[in-house]
Amino acid sequence: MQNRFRRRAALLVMLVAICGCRPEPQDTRHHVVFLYPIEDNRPMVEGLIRHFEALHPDINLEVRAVPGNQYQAKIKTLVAAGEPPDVFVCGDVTFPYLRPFVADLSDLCRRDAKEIDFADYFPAVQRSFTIDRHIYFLPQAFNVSLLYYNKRLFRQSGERFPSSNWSWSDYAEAGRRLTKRAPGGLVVSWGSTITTGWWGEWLTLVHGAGGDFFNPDVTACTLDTPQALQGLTFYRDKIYKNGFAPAPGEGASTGFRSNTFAMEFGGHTGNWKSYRQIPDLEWDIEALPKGPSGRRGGELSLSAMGIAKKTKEREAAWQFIKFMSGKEAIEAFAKFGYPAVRRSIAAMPFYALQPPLNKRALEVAMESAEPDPDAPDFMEIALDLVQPEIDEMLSDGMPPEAAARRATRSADSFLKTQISRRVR
Amino acid sequence: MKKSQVRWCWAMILPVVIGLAIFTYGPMFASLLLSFTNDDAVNTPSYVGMANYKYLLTADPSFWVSVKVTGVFAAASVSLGLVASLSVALILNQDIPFRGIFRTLYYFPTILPATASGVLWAFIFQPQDGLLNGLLRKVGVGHPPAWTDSPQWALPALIIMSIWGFGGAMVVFLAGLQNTDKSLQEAASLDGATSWKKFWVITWPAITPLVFFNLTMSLIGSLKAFDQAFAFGTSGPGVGGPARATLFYVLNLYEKAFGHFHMGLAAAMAWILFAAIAALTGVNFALSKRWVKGSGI
Repeated sequence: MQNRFRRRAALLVMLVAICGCRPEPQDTRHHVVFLYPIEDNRPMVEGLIRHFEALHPDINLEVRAVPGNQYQAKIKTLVAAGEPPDVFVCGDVTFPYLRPFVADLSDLCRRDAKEIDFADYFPAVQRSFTIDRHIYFLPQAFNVSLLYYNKRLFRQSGERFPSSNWSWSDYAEAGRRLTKRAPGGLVVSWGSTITTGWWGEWLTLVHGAGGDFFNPDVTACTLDTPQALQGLTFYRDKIYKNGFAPAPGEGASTGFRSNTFAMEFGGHTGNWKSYRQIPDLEWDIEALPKGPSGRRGGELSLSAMGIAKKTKEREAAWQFIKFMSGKEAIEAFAKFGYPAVRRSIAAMPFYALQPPLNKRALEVAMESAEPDPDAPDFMEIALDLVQPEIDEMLSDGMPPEAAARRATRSADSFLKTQISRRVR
Repeated sequence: MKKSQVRWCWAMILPVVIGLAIFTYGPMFASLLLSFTNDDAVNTPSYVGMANYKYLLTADPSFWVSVKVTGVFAAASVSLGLVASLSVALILNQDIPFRGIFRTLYYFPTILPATASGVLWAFIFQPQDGLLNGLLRKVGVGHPPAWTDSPQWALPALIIMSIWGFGGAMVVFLAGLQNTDKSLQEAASLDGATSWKKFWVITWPAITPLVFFNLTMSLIGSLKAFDQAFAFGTSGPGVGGPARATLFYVLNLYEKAFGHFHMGLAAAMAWILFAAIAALTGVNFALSKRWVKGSGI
């Protein structure tokens, strides 16, 4: 009895072992890994991915979702570990750093030029993703600096809406008039927001005044030139001299969404979808006012997808990014709330009806926008070395000259010491 | 000990020794080597001698700022934390109603992850819509501090937040206080000694080893502070706070390593911190001979 039990148990173990050793049915599909930064657009992106997989049954797309604020660190870690994802989000701001790992797609673009229809992209968008006559990524959306305005607050104040001919002084004067105070002096509504914590506004103003962040060969910082100083001074004066923007920590934390700011300088097109969801926020856009140099100074930055140089699935990855920059995908992105990178989508009736209504301003802004510096260390220098001095300037009254001098000294010192560390 | 016993001893501790060598001392040694290179985790590193150390000590605008921020934080949070934990331990050592509940309540924040409490405190200190400024406005403070958005107030906010977690030190003090000789206290009371006199002459000498223990541990902990500032920054004004006001040393190191992949620089920072903590702990031990009475309760 006992022997029979043992024999049966042994047989069972052998059967389980044999079944366990049976090879899995081989997946012959092309396996593409896409590193996706989690945003509120996830359902829309996942819908597009499902549709892509239905169109390409031979491609299996593995989506690795990473929180948006950890995306850059994650991608650099994977690259450092020698395991870059096949497809990743790579805009023109991050491209200078990622350049050594991003595949040149120029040959594929030439091959599939007709299908991609390059002429359909807005010219400014095309210029942004064409780097030294090479193409490394294809776009889904873009941000461009704009002047946002609250129509209700303008009307209540009897102000005329901004125009594309505005200068800085028009903007400042309107801002002062639109700043409304209660009898006790407490501000009820501000003339304008002020963008703090990153370069979005102050670098735009530096450009508008005729200055630049770096010299042309990116070997020295030029934030201490008289032109750059003029831009930084205007930025600071919005709070302390003209008094139409709140100091850091003041004003509604939800900014332009709060219906208590008449204008937003620069802003971000990524906010459009949230603006549209606020029923009593009547808003529109205009091109940024021109600075004393005649430049508007805003930036145009792309949200795009690139392919890793080391990918083993170049063709399958290419099919995916081509799809994600195709007309169907761009229409989905535009319907979700992003500005369209393709003219054919921008010409669709739904696009014209969605706020902002002044789409002409978008084109003016795109044409006058300036690229961010083509330097691998730009983001680090801007955020870690220059921004703290700008914060000091806004918070404790440090004169712009001192802030610019200290920022320039830090950046120059960094460039001299670290410049050889990066592949350029 | 017999030879065979020695062999067995070695055989037993060998896995731990191998584990330590491979997973602790190996990476430590590797990081020391790394600190003399320009490793950026991507390109092949090359030897740069003392350049990383020189850059940090003489040119990096954030290095000395983060040293200062960490120093101020350590001095304030350690001293205030010790005073708070000892004071509460002395009160909770008395025969008061609901003593058990109070002990649990005061210890409770210690078991919360620092990241979670960082997010919670970021909400409390949020300048426009935060809980604290809401209360301050209600009691008539027209312009309350901008806390997380202000270079002047961001660090004090973090110090206040750190004191919240004094429960661990409090439990150590409480354990020590419960083991002090009660007969001495009773004798002193009979002789008419005041509460302060009894504390200073009887209780304090008895708990100095615990003060030393808590001082050493919280000093090391505060010099390595990271998670609360990281959570604070990512929930509010950005990593390092406005104008680097909350750029702790380890946060700066993390940003250099995993924000910008300056692995060589980060490794150099780690070794400077190691040397500083070792030196401070040594000084602490040397000075303890002057004021710590006995070796324990």
